[in-house]
Amino acid sequence: MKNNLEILSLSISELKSYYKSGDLTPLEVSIEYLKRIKEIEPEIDAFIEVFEEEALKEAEKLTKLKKFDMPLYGIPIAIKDNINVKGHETKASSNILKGYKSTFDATVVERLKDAGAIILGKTNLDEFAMGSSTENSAFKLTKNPYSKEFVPGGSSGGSAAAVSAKEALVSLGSDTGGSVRQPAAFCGVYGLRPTYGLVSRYGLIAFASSLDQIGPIGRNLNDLFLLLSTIAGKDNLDSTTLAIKSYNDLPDETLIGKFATIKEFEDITIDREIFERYEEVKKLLMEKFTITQYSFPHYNYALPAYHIIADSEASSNLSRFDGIRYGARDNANSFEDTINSTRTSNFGKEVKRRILLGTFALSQGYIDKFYKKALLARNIISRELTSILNEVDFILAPTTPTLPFKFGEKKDPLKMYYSDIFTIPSSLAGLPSINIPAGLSDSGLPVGIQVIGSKLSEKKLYKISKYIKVELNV
Amino acid sequence: MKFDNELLNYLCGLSKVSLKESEREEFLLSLKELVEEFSIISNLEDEPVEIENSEYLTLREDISINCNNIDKIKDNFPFIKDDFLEVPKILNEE
Repeated sequence: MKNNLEILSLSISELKSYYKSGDLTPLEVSIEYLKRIKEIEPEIDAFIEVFEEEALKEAEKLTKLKKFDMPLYGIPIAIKDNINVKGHETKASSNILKGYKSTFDATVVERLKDAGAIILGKTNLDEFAMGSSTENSAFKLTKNPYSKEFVPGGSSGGSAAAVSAKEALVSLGSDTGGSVRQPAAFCGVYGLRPTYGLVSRYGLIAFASSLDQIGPIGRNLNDLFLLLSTIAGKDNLDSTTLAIKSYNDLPDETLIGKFATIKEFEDITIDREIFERYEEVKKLLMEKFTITQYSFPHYNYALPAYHIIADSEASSNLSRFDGIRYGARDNANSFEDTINSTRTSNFGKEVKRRILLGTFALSQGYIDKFYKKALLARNIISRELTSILNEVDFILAPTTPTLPFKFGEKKDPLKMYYSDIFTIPSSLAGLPSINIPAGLSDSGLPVGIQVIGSKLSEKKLYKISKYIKVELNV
Repeated sequence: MKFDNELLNYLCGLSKVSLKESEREEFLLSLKELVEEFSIISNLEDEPVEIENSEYLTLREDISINCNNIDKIKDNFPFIKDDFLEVPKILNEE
């Protein structure tokens, strides 16, 4: 029998083969993961809620069932707390949703359950997924498993830290402007933002509906794409999903052997060690691929366009949290005062800031100068990136401009927003992109490299990620 | 454009949030800075928006694919019956 740490290091396919041979059972594996959570959670604080009893019950049921052909049979998974899991609180790390219990499963959760996955619990995030460090959670500070003085990134910091600390084999996060890829880079794991519309958002608490995508996080590429294939595909409950029945129906194009780098990205100040790692990967790729530098003239409009669009959508999406329909309520003398008081005392500072900024961008007198111009910028940015990707297979970029930073280091909102400078453009254009862990800095902190593909090129992204990791040994 | 207390009050009213006196200064400063930084976007010259011409667009049409989610969701709300939206009696009488 394998010892605890060996079990926690097994990939999905390894676990499944042990299940089939009878060397391990879903119950034994779940017990090991729950033990690990008990041991390490006081140091990491990745979870908001652990479903111990329910996970064991499910594992016991699956152990008896012996349905080895289920795609995720007995696989322990963690879910970001802005995704609904029936019967459990879904708070999106906000006080305003305290006490709100989900009455239904998000489509992705339903698909995971149908595939035999065991949900271990809900993970921490920046309140309503607004942030890049998970410091904006109303409940706890998640620590980076590589060094506890450092942030895990965000907003899916809990999901990335849980996988990195072996508290879950895989997890789900959500990515609006980089919230899966950036924490994955900070925690040294893989994180994928799928093409917009490939994965259903039904049951995901909306931050910015035209940008939000649920994405997988894992320690192993096969695990990551297996998880994607389980959750991908049309959902009649989300009209923005694409008419693709499953991952298998995605185009499987051959590589033409060309990479692009972005000239303007290379002018952005980044940490020396990230730059060196990025250059190293470029050099390794050059042995087999042609790498051409392209210009992306409107890149400096990406950050303003992203925040204006995301915050405008957030100001509308979050208007439903009024203390009347969901969660917390601060009773006051009148209906209006109850709404105002509930929102004032239960929304955190960053959420209020973004609601106010979004309301500003949509208000009369400013909508033409801000919101409408941001939509135009988004269109131009999509066009520019698509035209580059018409000539190459992928765009190579760093995932983050800096290594993980210390708690409290980035107090200025604008500085924090710049954490997503490399991930925002593909979010605006709806393109799939992946963070590939590319080793550690001298100080022992993870470095990530990002590969961006054309729409629905996930199969190609898998191939190139595998090549970079296995052949180039990055 | 002047991002001042008056504008902040107006936005708070629309957003249905209030700010404490201690927060007001900080919000005013940070929002002013963000709006100034983002106002670069208003320099963008208007041009026609181009619609992407690709296979991807055909996938965005409203095509229904069979799935069994609906029944499961209905199971979660057994209290909703078909006769829930019956016309009120008084209307029938009229």
